Amino acid sequence: MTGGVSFGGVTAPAAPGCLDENAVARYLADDTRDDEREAVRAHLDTCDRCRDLVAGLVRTLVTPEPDDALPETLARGTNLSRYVVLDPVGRGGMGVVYAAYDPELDRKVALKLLRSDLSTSAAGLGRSQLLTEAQAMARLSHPNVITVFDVGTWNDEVFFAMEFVRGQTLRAAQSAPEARARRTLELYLAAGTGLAAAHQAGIVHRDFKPDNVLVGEDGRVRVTDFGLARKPEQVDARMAGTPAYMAPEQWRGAPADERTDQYSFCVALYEALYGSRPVRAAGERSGSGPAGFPPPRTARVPPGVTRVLARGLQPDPAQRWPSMEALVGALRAARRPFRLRTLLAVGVLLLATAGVWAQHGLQLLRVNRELTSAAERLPELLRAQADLIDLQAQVGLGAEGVLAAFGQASNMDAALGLAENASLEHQLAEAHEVMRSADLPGLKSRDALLLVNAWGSVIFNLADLDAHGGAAPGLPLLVGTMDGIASDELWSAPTLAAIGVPLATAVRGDDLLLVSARPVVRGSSVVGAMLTGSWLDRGLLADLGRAVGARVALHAPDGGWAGARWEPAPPVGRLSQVRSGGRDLAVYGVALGAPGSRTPTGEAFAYRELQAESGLAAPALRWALSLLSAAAAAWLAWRRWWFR
Amino acid sequence: MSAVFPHADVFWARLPRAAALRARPGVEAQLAEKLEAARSARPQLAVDPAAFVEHWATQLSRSPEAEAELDRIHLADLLLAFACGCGDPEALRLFRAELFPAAVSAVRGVEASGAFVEEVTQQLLERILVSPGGRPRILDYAGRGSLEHWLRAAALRLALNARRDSRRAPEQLASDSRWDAVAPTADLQLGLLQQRFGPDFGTAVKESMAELSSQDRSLLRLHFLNGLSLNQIGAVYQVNKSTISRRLSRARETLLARTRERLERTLRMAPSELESLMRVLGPGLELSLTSVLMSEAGSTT
Repeated sequence: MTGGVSFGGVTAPAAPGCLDENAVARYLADDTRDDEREAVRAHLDTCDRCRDLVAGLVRTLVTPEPDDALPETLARGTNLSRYVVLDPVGRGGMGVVYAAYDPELDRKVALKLLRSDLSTSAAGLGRSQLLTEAQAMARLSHPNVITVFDVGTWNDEVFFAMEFVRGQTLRAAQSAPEARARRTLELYLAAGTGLAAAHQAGIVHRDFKPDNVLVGEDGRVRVTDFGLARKPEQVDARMAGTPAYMAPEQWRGAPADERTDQYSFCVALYEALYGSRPVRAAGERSGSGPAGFPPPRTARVPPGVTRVLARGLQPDPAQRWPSMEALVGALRAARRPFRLRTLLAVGVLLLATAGVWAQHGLQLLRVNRELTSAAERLPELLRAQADLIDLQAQVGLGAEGVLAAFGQASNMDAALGLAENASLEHQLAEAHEVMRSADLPGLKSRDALLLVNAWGSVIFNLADLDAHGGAAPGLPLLVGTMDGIASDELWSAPTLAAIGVPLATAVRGDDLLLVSARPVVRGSSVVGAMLTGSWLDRGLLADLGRAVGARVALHAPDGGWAGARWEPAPPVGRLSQVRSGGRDLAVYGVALGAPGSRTPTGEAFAYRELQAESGLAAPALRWALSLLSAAAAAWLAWRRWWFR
Repeated sequence: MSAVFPHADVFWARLPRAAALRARPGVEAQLAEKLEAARSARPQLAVDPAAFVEHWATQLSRSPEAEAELDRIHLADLLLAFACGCGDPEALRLFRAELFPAAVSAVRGVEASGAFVEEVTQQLLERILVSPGGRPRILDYAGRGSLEHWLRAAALRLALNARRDSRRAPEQLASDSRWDAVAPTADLQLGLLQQRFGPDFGTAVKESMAELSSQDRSLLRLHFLNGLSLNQIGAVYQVNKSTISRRLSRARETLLARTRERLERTLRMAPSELESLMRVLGPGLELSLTSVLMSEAGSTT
C-alpha cells in the first residue's frame, strides 16, 4: 500500500478475503498461529477456489496414506457402557460391530452399535419396540441363535452385547470353493432351527439373509440381527424389483410374520444351492407360483429339497409351510439322498435274497443228511444180498437147478413160481414155512421173508446189461420194490439169467424194467423164485453214469455173481448233484470192494430227487432277487455320491 | 545502535506506526542479527543493503502486527526473493536450481502433460521474475511462510486458472446421466434399480448436500471430489487424521441419512424398502457421490 507496491498474489484471488500466495505460504508454515489457522479453515469451508488451491498444494506436498480408518467411529479403548471397545470387526446396514471387552465378567463380547438413525424412533421401529424385541432375544437361549448378553443405549444409540463368535458369515461359508451342497444344506438346517426357535419365542427376524448368519470356527451356526429390520409401512406401487431376500408381502406393506422369514430363508437357501436367487423367467409376469421354478438343473439338489423351497417361496403366505419348524422338518427329511422307506424296501429285498439263499443252503444240507443216512444203509442192503447168495450156495443148487425149477413151473401167470394153484396167501404161507424151517439166521419168520422181499434188490451186471438191454454204462445198486409189473411183460423178457444174478430187463418207452429172481426155499430145496422188479429211467441211469464216472456198477471180476461175496468197503461219502430229464438229483455214492480187499471194485449209490425245491427257493427267483438287490445297492450308493 | 544495525533510519522510516517495536530494548541488535544470519545464509547474493532493509520494512508494514511478524519472518527467503526481483544473476541461478522444481511439481499436480507444464511455468516465470508492469511479482513475497510454498501456491493458482480457462464449457453432467458414471454392473436387478432411482437419488444427494454444514460439505468435497486421502485432508485443515476420519464419516452418515429421508418423501417409500434399496445401491454410492459432486462443481464454476 505504500511505495507503489501492489500487494496480493501473482494472480488475483477470486474475491476479497481469499488467500493470496503469502497467506497460503504462511498457512503451510510451521509457525502459523491458531487464530490465523482458524480463520483460514473457516474460509476454506466456504471458498471452493481457495480450498482447491490448498488441496492441490497438499496433494503435491503430502503423500497420501490409505484411508483404512474411514469407517471407524469408535476409537480403541472407548468406554461404551461397561464395555471397552477393542476393534471394529464388521460393518453392515445396521451399524458397526466391535470386538469389546467386558471387564466385569472378564470376557470378550461383540458389541453391535446400531446406526443412530435406526436407533431413533423417527425411523420406523420405535426404540422401545426395538428394546423389547432385544430383551426377548436376550431371554431366548438356543444354540443356533446368537446369545444376547445385554442391551442398552449409549449416547442415544442402541447397542447390543452379544457372544463373540470367531468364524465367518454363512455367505462366506457357502461361497467357499470347497463348500458342498450337502454341507450348505446342513448349515441352513441349523440356521432354520434357530429361526424356528425364535419364532416359538415370538420373535420374527424380518431380515434373514446369509450375511446375518454366523458360522463359528466350532462349526456352530448362529442367526444374528433378529428383529432389527424396520417394519414396512407404505410401499410405492411403482416398485419394480424385489431387493434380495424380501417377501412379496413385505413389499406390499403387510406386517412381517414367521412366513415372511420362511420366504427369506428359502430365497437364501435357493441362492446357496443353485448359485442365483430365484427370479421369474422372462415373459412370465406375476405368476401365482413361486419364482425361480423349475430351478436350473446344473446343481445337484435332491428333488425333495426343491419341493420344500417351492412351497416356502409361494408368493401367498397362506400357501407356504404352516411354520418354520414344519419347513425345517420337511427339509431335514428331504435332505437325505433317499427316503427311509426306500432304504427299508431295499433292506427287505436284501433280507429276502439272503433268506432265499439260506433256505437253499439248508435244503442242501438236509438232503445231504438224508442221503448220507441212506448211504449208510447201503452196506446193510448189500449184506442181505450176500446172505441170499450164501443161502443159494448152502442149498447146493446150481443155476441150472433154479432154471429147471422155473421150467417146471408151467403157470406163468403167477408172479411167484410156487405150486400151480396156490393162492398168493398160500404161496406166502408156504414161503414162510420154508423160511421158518430153513436154518437161516435172520430169515425165521414171515416178516423176515417179507423183509427180504421188500429189499429185493437188483444187482446188475454191467456186461449182461450191455448184452441184453443196451443200457448206459454204469448202473447203480437200486433199492426198490416190485411196483405193479404186468406179468406178460415180465415173462416175455428174453432171458432169465442164473439165480444169484437175478436178471431180467424189459424196455418200455424210455423205462427199463429190471427184474430180480429170488430163490424160495422149502426144506433144503428151492421150490420157486420170488421175483421183484422196478422201473428205471434209462436216461437217469445214463446221467448218473456220466455224472459219477463209468465205474458205477457192482460187478464181479469173473463177470458173475455166484459165489461172490461182497462186503462194503468203508463208505466214501460223495454227494453230487445230477440233472436228468429236467429233474435235479442229489446222489450219494459209497465205494464197495471184495471182502478182505482194500481196493474198491464197485460203488453203491443212493439218490434223491430235489423236487421239493420250489416257491421262494426256486433258482430263477433266487437269481432274480440277487440281481435286484445288487442293483438297488448300487443305486443307493450312487445317490449318496450324487448329493455330496 | 546505528553502528550495530546499518540503515536503521531507512528501516524505521518505512514503519512509522511501529513505535512499540522500535521502543523494544535491543531491537536493533536483533534486527542486525537477523540480517546478518540471512546474509550469511545466502552469502553469494549481491544486493544493496539499504534497499533490502527498506524492502524488509515495507513487507513488515503490510501486516497490522509488525512486531509479531518480525519474529517469524523468513528473512533468508525474503533476501533471495528480493535479489531475484532485482535481477541478480546469482539469485536467479539459485532460484532456478532450488525453487523452480517445486513450482514445476505443483503445476504437474494439476495436469501432467508436458505442454501444459511448459506453458504454465513459462507464464509463471514471466510474471514473477520479469517485470511486465515494471515490478517483478516475486517482490510481493512477504517472508511469511517459506518462499517455496509461496512459489508453489503461485504456480498452482496459475495452473488451476489455466485449466479452468481451457474448459470454458465445463462438461456438466446431464441430470439423468449421473448413474452413468457408475461402473456398469453385471447385476441386472441393480442396473434396473439404478436406472429407475438414479436420477431421484442424485437429486436427493445434491439437495441433502446443500443442507449440510459448510464444513461437512467441504470435507466431502475434498474427499470425493478432490480425491484427497484422510491424511491429506488433515494437512489441508491442519488437524490430525483421526479427527478428519471421524468428521468425514459423520458427514457421510449425515448425508446418507438426509438422502434417505428425502427419498422417503419423494418416492413415498417405506423405510425398510428404502433400506434395501440403499443397500442394493450401496456399492455405487461413493461413485454416485463423486459424480453428483462433480456435476455440482461444474455448474457453479
